[in-house]
Amino acid sequence: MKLDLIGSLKLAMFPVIFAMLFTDMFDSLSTFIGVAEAAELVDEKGEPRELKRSLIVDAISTTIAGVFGSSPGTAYIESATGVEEGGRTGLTSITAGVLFLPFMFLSPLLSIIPSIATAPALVLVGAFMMRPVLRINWAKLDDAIPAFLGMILIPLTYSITQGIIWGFISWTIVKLAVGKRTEVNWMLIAIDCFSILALIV
Amino acid sequence: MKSNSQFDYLSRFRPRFVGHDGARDRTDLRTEIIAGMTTFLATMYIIVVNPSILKAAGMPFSAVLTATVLVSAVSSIAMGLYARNPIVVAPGMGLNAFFAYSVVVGMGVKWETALGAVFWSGIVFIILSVFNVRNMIVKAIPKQLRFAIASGIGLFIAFIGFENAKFVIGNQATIVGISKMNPIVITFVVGLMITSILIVKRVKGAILVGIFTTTLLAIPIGRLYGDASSINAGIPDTRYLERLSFTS
Repeated sequence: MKLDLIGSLKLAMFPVIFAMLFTDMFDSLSTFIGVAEAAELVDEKGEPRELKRSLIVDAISTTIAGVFGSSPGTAYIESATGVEEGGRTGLTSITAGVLFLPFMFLSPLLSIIPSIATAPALVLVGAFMMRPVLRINWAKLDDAIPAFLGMILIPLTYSITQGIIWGFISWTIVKLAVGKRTEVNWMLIAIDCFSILALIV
Repeated sequence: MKSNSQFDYLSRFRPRFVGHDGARDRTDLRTEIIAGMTTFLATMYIIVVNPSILKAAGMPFSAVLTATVLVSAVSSIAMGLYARNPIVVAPGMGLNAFFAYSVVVGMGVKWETALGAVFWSGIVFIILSVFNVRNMIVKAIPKQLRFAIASGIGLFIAFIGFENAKFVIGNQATIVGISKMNPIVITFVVGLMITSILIVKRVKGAILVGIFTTTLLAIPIGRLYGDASSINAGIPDTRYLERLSFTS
C-alpha cells in the first residue's frame, strides 16, 4: 500500500477530492444512464435497473483503486459493445472481468490487437447509442435546447461531465424563465450549484 | 421458455426484478459469453493505456498495470455477481488523465497523496450510494436530459473510435480534420464496412468477428509500417517486453 491516507485529508487537498468526486460521479452516473437507456436496461419504472447496487460496486471500485494504486474506477461506455451483442445479465461482466486476470502476466500479448481493430466497434456502438435521440421532444424547444446542448457538448468538450453540466444549467435557466417550475426540483438546483462549483475549481 | 434450462441457470445473474419471460431480455449462456468477450476486447486497452498515462505522474509502469488488471477484474466480477448488470467497471479514461496531469503534474501533489484522495472519494461514494443520495441524483435528472446523455455518449464514443483509427485527426485551423488516406486508415475503413455489414445481417458475435477480422487485416501493415506500439506482427513483440522491464 503506497497511498497516503493522512496527507490526502489536508485542507489543500479538498478541491482535488471534490473535483475527483464530481468528475467520477457524473462520468459513472452518465455511463449508467447512457448504457441503460440505449440498451433498455431499465426497471418497470423506467429507471436504470439495479442502480443502487451498481453504484455501490462503482464506489468500491474507486476505493480499491486507491489501495491497489490506480486512478479511480468507473463504469465503461464500451460495455455497450457487449450489450449490442445480446449481453443482458451479470454473466457478461463476469466473463469480461475474468478475462482481465491472465493479462497481469501476458500484457505484451495485448499489442496483438491494434487500436484500429477495436475502432470500428466503437464507431458502430456510437450508432447504437444514438437511438434515444428519437425520444427527445425536438418540437418542444424548452426540452430540446438543453438536451441538444448537453448532447453536443459531450463530444465537443471531450468530457461527459462537461456536457451534462451545461445540460443541467441550461435546463434550469430555460425552464425557470418560461415558468415551468415543476420541471426543476430542489435536487437539480443542488446539482447546478455543485456544477458551477466544479467549473470554478 | 421457462422450461429452458439455460434460462434457469442464467437467472442467478439476472437482475432480481426482471421477469423470466421478458422478450427484451432474452439471452442464453453463449450470447452472454460472446458479449463478455466483446466487451473485454473493447475495454482491454486500459490495461496498457492506464499505466502509460499514470507514468506521467511518476508511478511505476508494471505496478500500475497489475493494479489496473486487479481493479478491472474485481470490480467487473462484483458488478456481475452483486449488481447483475452487463457493465464493465475499470479505471476510467479521463479520470486517469485528470489524476496524472491535473492533480500530480499540475497541482504538484505527490502521487501517493493523490492515491489517498482516490481512496477517500471512494469512501464518500460508498456512503452516498448506501444512503441513496446517488440514486436520488439519477432520479432528479430529467428524462429528456437522460436521452441527451445517451446520445451524446454515442457521439463521443464514435469520435474516440475515429480518433483511435487516426481517421479523424487534429487540425490547427479547424480543430479537427480528416487524415490523408494511408494503409492504416484504409484498413480501418475496410474493417468498419465489414463490421457494419455483419451487424446489419445480424450475424452472432458481429462485433467480435469485426475486431478479429480487422486485426488480421492489420498484420501486413504492422510489418510495413513497423508501428510496434499499436500494431505488430501477431506474435508478442520482444521490444515491447524490454520496454516493460525497462520502465518497471
